[in-house]
Amino acid sequence: MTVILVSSDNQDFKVDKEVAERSILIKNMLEDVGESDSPIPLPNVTSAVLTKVIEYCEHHRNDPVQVPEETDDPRKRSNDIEEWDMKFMQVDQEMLFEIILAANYLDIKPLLDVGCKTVANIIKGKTPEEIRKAFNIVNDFTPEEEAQIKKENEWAEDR
Amino acid sequence: MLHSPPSTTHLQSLSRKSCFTEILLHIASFLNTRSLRTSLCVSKDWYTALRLLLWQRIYLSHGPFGYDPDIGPSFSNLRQHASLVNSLEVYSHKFPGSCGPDPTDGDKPLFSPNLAVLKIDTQVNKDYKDPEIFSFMERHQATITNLTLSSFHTVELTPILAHELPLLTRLSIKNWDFHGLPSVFMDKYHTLWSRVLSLSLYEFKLFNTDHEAWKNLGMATDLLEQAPPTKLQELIMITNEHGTDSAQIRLQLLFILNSPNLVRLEWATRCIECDWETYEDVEVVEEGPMAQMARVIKSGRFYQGRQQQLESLGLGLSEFRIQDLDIILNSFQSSLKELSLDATTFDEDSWTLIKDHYPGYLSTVTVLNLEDCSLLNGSQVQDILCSITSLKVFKADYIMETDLEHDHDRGRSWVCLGLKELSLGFIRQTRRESDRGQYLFLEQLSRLSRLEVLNLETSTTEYEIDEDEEVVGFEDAAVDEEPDRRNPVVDARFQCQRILLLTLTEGLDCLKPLRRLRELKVPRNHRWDGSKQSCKRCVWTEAEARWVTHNWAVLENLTNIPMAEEVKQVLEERMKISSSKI
Repeated sequence: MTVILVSSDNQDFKVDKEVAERSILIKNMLEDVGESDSPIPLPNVTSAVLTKVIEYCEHHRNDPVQVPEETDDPRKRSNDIEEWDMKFMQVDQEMLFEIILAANYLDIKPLLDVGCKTVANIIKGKTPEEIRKAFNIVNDFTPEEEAQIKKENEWAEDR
Repeated sequence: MLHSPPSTTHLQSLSRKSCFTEILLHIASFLNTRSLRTSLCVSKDWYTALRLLLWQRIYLSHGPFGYDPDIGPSFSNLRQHASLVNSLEVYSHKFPGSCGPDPTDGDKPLFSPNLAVLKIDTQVNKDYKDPEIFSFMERHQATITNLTLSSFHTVELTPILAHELPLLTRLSIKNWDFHGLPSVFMDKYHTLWSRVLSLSLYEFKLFNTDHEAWKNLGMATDLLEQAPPTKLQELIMITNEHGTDSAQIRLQLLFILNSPNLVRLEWATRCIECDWETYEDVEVVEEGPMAQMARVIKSGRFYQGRQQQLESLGLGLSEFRIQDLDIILNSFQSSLKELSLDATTFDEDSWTLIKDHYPGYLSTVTVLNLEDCSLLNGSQVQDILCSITSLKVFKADYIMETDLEHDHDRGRSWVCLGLKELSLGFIRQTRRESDRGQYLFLEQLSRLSRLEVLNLETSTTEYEIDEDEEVVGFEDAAVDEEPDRRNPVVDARFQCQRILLLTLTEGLDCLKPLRRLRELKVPRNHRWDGSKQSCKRCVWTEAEARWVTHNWAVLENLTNIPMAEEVKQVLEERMKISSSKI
C-alpha cells in the first residue's frame, strides 16, 4: 500500500505506507484517518528535504521500532553513527538543519538522533569562537560577560 | 563541507523557531561535560538553553589528593548553581568544606532545593566520616526520592533513615557494616520499609542475629505485621560470598514473603554456620536458602495466597533442587518474564525438569540468565535456543558438547529470532565439534537479525592446539605451517578458528546480516589490532585484502579497536601489488 505525501512546494511523493510510517506523525495521522487515498500535506517540509527524509526512511524501513532508551545519564549516550547514516549526513549545513527540523516535525526519532549527533560531533573539541564560526553565530556577549560565564561554570579540566 | 562556515546563518535562523531550545538540548545531550561548558559561552540563547543541563547532574569524587577537579565543578560555583542541581553523586568520606556554613554567604550551608537523587559512597572508609555528610542529608531529606548509601555503619544509617524522608521511593544500601543495637535499628526505620517502592541491600545484615536470634525474629515478625512493606515492588538482597547464618536467612525470607506486591525480586545468599567466637569452622548448612524458602512457603506460615505479580526473579542460592524451585515458582503464580539462576548445581536434568514443569512459562520468558550455572552443557543451550521463541536476552555459560549437526539434520533451528542480546561462554573440552558444526553455529547466529549485543568473550578451548595443523578454509593464501604470529589478523584467525569459525572471510561475513549489532566481544585470545605483534609480511590474497579493506570500518565499529598501522601498511602494499599487476 502506498501513500502520497505533498511537500510545501506542492510536489507529490508516492511512498510505501511502511516507509512513510517511520514518521510517527504520519503513522498517527494514517491511524486517525483510517483507509483513505487523500494525499498528506506536509507544509513544513520542502521537496528537497522530503526527498532526503524519504531516502533515510527507505534505507531504514526494516529497522525495529526504537524503544525510548532509559539511559541513566543523558550525557553518557553513545555518539556512534552508522556508516550509511554518516554518509547520508554529509550535506551542507542548511540541509543538515532542515533535516533535523523535518525529523523533529515528522517525529522520526532515529533521524533526529543522527542529525543531532552529527552537529554534536562538529561542536566537540571546539572553542566557543570556533563553534560560532562553524555555525555563523553572532557573539552577543560582551567580553566581560563571557569571562563571567566562563568563571561561573568552571570545572577544572575535564577528562 | 560541514566544517566550512556557511554563507547563511542556519543555526541563527533556527534560534527563531519555537523548537530551538528543544533541539539544542537534544544536540547537547550528545556532548560531554567539557564541550557542554564550552557551548555555554557561544551566545546568550545557548547559555539560557544549556545551563540547566550542565548543572542538573553533578559528580564529586575525592581522591588521595583532595577532590578530583577532573570530574566536578568548583565548590563556589556549585553553591551558586545549587538550585539547578537535581542529582548529586559524591564519592568520598569527606564532603566538600564549602558545603557547610559559609561566612561569605551569611553562614548559610549549601542547599539544593530541588535535589532528588543523592548517592554517597564513602569508599570503604567506615571509620571517619565528615559530619557535614549527615547535616547535608538532614537538610535535604524533604526532597530526596532516590537515596544510595555505600559503606556506612548501622549506627550512622540509623539517624539518617530516622528522618521522615517523605518523598523517598528508592533506597539502596551497599557494603553495609553492622554495628548497633538491633532493636533501635529495626524500630527506627521499619516504617520506612512500608513506604518505599524499591529497596536494595548489598553486603548487609537485616539486624544482629548473632545473639538471641529467635527472640529477634519474633520481634521482626511483629514489626513486619505492624508495618508490612506493601508498597515494595523491587527488592534486591545480596549478601557477601561468605553467606550468612540461618537466623538471617529466616529474617530475609520473612521480609520477602511479607512483601505482597513485588514485581522484581533478586535474592542471593547462602547459609552458613560458624563459631561466632573464633569465626572458624565455617560450613555450609545443608538446608540452604532455597530449600528453606520452599519449606516455609509450603508450610503456609508466612504466605497466605496473595496475588503475586512477580515479573523478574533472580535467585542465587547456591544449591538447586527442582522440587524447591517448583514450589517457589508456583507460589508466585505469575507469568515471569525474567528468570536468572545462579546455582552451581543447576545441571542438564534441572533444565529438562524446568522445561517439563513449565511449558507455559517458556512462552513468556524474555530474559533468561544461566550465566553462573556451570554444569549446563551445549545441548541444553541449544534446546533453549530452539524452543523459547520469546527470548530477548539470553546468557549462559556451558560446556560445549552441542549437537548442532544432528539438530540441523533434523531440521531444528533457533527460534528466538527476536533475540537482542546473546552472551555465550562455552568451554570446548574436546575436538568433537567438527568444522561443519562450527559453521552451523555461525549460520544460526546470522539469522538473529535483531541482535544488538553478541558476547563470546569468556569462551575458551581447553584442549591442546596442534601447531602443525593446517589452517582450513583459507585456500588461496600462502599459509605457513606455523600460525603466522607476525600477521595479527591472520593470527587472530588462526587462534579463533579453533574456538569458533569467526574468520575474516567466512565468520565475519556471517555477521553482516546482523545490522543492529553494536557490540561484539570475541574470545579472549582473539586480537584485531596487532598491538603486540609485528606484521612484516602479507599473506592475504588480493580478494581477502580487498575484503578486509572494505569491511574494516564495520569491524572497527564493532570491536572498538582501531586498525594497527602495520596492518594498514600491509593492506596498502597488498593493494598496490594487485593494482600494479593490472
